[in-house]
Amino acid sequence: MNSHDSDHSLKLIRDLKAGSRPVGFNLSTEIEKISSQEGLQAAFNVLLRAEVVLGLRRPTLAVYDHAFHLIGGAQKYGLTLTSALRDLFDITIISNKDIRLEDFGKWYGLDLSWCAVKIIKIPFFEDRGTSYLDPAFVSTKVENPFHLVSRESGNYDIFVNNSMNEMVFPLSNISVLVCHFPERLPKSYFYADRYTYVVHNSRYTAEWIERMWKFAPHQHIYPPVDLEDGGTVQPKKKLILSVARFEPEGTKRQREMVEAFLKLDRLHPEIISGWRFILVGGSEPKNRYLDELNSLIAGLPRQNIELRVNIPASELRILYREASIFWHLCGIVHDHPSEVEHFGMTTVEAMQNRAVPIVYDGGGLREIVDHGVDGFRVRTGGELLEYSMKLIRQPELIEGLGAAAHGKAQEFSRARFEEHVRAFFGRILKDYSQP
Amino acid sequence: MDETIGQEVKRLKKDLLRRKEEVDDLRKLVNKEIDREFEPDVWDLTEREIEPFIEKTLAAVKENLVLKPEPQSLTSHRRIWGRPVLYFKRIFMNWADLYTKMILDKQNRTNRHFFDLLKVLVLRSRWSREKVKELEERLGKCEESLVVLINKAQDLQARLEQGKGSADTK
Repeated sequence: MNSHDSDHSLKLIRDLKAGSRPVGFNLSTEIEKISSQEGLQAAFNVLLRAEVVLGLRRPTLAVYDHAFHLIGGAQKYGLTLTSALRDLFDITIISNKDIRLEDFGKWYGLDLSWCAVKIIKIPFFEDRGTSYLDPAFVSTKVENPFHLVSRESGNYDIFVNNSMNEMVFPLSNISVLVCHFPERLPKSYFYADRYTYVVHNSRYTAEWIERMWKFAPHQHIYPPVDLEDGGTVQPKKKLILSVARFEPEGTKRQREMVEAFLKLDRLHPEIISGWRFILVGGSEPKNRYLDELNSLIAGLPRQNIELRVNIPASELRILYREASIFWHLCGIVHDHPSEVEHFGMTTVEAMQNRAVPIVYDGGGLREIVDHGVDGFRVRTGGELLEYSMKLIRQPELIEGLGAAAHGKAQEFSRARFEEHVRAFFGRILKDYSQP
Repeated sequence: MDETIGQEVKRLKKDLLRRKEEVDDLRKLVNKEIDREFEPDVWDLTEREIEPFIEKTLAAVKENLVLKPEPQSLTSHRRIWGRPVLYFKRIFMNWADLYTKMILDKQNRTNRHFFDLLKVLVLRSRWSREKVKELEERLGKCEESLVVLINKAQDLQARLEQGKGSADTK
């Protein structure tokens, strides 16, 4: 990992802190020496740290994500982290597209109006007119377009890269890469191992970081999930719910779930009578996969399957409270580990609302659901039917497992997340400001 | 004293910031090379990456499949003795070429056999993969049918017990 201070720099900072200036000591000369040996940035970093050590200003932290303008679980992670660190740092949010802080309030319920914002437009992507900045488009044939962000990273005490983008070279004294999943093998402009710390969101992610990037990440912090039912236990309805983005590639496996429900309906009409299956998710306006799903359920005589796209959070909350069973099969068919759920935030949301999860037995979902204790994990469509029938036939099981699921979900609450974030960054700050 | 240090730090920072902005190259800012070459280890390839890798590698192998002797120009630094030395060198090389050609022909035949074998193995692995996929699907359907049958049997059993119970009460 990237060491953030050389012996010379550290000694200089300690001397400054102690107020001991030997005869002939000249700060300017010392800084110039560091600059010529380790580069201008290293010299600048010494001064940044000296300011914090001497108590001349509050420490600064920047949180970067190239997709802050889009709604997503990873972005919620980064912004909740930002919110949790308000008391410790002066924080700047860095992104590559225009963002509005009030949107974060609407999307994630976070008040970040106190943060500074810096937008660094990247001409490479601006010229292409794409709304999503996909690092996969960048090869060594072009100059690394993310170096604009790298340069900015050197203006803060701590730089946090929250994006799935390892092409930003960190220049700050301390750098933290939040890895939501290592999507690509180390190749052009790969700097993940140049960060001081790498934080991972699940053990599954950590396992793949080690396999793909060949180093062990440093800190495990589960994502924040805060869709609590408010403590009031509401009567459940005969509702099976699925909440996942309608990915055009179909990686969330909604088709498989619809087919499973259709099978239940066809073979056990008397048992399934009165039950509905609702699939909720976000989608782009044009989505061929969504069109396919629509045609799959069109013309069903009983109309017991519904697709609800881009619904407001208030409507989603009601559905979570009403749902008895939650299905999530992301990963049941996959040819790349990134197609398996890295964590599974919506599963935790369902559990917080006492819906019994039946999920694919793989990825981060294994860390959330204990089979037979607070839900079920399945590997095939047959198992999905088996456990669903079990629950449908025994409503008392739904109540019992739902209560257990609710208890388990507390491990992934926002409060717990903030506690871990403050502890981790508190330790870093202590080491940084008290050398 | 603190204020003096504070002012000095501020002044130096301002100066360094200006100098930093003048530097275009990130490497110059940190006084070191930041990019590295990464050789992908084939053991790390995921299912999705295997097919493109096979295609790419087969194409590269095909390109260098037939080995040909590369003509070499003969020169000598000797003024007087150069010509006879070159003459004998040429005779020797023409003689040696006969054997080189034989060895290369043999190597090329072997390469071709290996390449064909490689292609057939790839073909077989693709075919096996398809077959496994098909079997998995069939197994999945069997599993589902089994679940359905078990549930139907349970229903039947429940109805029989219910019927028996009501007959007993009569």
